[in-house]
Amino acid sequence: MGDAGALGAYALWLGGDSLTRRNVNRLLVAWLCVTWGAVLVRSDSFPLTWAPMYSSWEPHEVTSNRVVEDAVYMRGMLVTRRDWSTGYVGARELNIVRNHMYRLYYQRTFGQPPVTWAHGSQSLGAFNRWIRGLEAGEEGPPDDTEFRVFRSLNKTFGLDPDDPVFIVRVQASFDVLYRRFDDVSKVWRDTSRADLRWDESWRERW
Amino acid sequence: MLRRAWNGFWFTGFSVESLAMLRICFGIGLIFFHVTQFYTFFLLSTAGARFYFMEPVWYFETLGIERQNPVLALAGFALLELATLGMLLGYRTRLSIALVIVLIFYLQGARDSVTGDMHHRYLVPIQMLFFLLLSKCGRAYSIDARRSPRVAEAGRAVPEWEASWPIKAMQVYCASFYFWSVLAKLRVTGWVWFTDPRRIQDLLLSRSLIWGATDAGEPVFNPLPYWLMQQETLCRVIGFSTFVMEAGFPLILFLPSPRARLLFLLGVTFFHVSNTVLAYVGFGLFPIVFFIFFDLENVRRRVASFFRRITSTSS
Repeated sequence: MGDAGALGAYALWLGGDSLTRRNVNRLLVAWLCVTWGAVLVRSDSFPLTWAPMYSSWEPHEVTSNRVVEDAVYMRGMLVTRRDWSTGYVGARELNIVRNHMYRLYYQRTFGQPPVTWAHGSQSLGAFNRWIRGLEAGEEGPPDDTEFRVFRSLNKTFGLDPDDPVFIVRVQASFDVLYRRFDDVSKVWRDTSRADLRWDESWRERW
Repeated sequence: MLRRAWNGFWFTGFSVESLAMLRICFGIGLIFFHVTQFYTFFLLSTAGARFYFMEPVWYFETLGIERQNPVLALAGFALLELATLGMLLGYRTRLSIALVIVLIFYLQGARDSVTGDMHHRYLVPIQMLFFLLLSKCGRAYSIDARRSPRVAEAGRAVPEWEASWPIKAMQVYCASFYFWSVLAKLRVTGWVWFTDPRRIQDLLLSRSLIWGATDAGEPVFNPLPYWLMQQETLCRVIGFSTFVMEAGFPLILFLPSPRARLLFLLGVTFFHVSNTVLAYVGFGLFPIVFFIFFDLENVRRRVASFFRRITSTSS
């Protein structure tokens, strides 16, 4: 991102009447290098991108979809605190809007990182593996979604790991509908459950 | 020859008035676009908890911004709309555009850091704003030019090359954006993304159930995507036409006929609006960026002469 920042500063400094045609040529070349460079290295950090929206998909015969229940996910996750008290933490307590609560409940609590994580780590070519310093078999940077769930929930309420009401367990569940593409009318259900527990070794990262 | 082609591409085709008209039309579009992107801040309680970001965007991490602040977000949104109005009216144009850029960075960061999903809807607009900032778009059809004869005089003296390159750069970025998305699909998933109808079926099915499902597994709201996902041939056509549209988008840079460009862009607009209706993809107002593919000063002249003709006929 340093390159983009430098380019921006350079461009602003050149702005106004001092932007000669020669400088415009330099700026355009630098800008093309930065924007196409981001595509080459698969950088998806605003304002640079390689436009990976909806690119990730794997062929499969059976499709699964979660059954979304508005009242359930807005009520939130069942949490257990260090003092063994329990309760729900949802959109109202966290003061976040519906679409964020949806992602928090149905995705993050179930260990699913933001889709950008998959974009940045799936089907990496040799060059991208090399610049990320990945060994053979490694998919991408470690996914620490579980830690982030505990950190966000607790820090939102100003709780430290030694606090008696510190959240140490997070639970959620939803029904999943399965069906085959060749006959979508036949569906079968299952329940997916998440049960995250605080790991005391995370204190070091707190 | 290469030099001539380079100069012919980047430095010809537009006047400072075209640039100013682009600033106005894009500004009007942005006023509404901001609302569609940031209306959720109005749903937050200003007295409620300040959520600790799960995945802060890189510049929030650098600046140490860790929490959602509803009051700041609402104030930022109000200021963003005012700055956009300032930009389109040409009031302290450069300052207004710079403010719009900074505020988009802040508000997009505040929205996307909550759970870490980065949205791509401002990528083309932010590049456009960057080039408008560097351009002399405030030297015509602006309050700045009306207030200062010096600015107006300088506006009349802006040569074609200086007015053209910012618009051409915006066009190149927009075309690249679509082309990159076809490259990304090929890099991550491969040809199967376009050739296998299940890709589109999967997307339509998951989005159709986003509001809930009946016991039979059918959507409780908007049956259209659910119906469409069962039409395999149509899904195959959608997958293939996505490839044609995204891979062929750069050709628009070399289409000389404005009508041909308009036809193509109407098709792309249909694609975005359909995505919004069928799959709840928030790119419905994204076509406001397509103003860059037209010389809007020509459009203004035509509209003005049309109205002159009408008024002279009626009088």
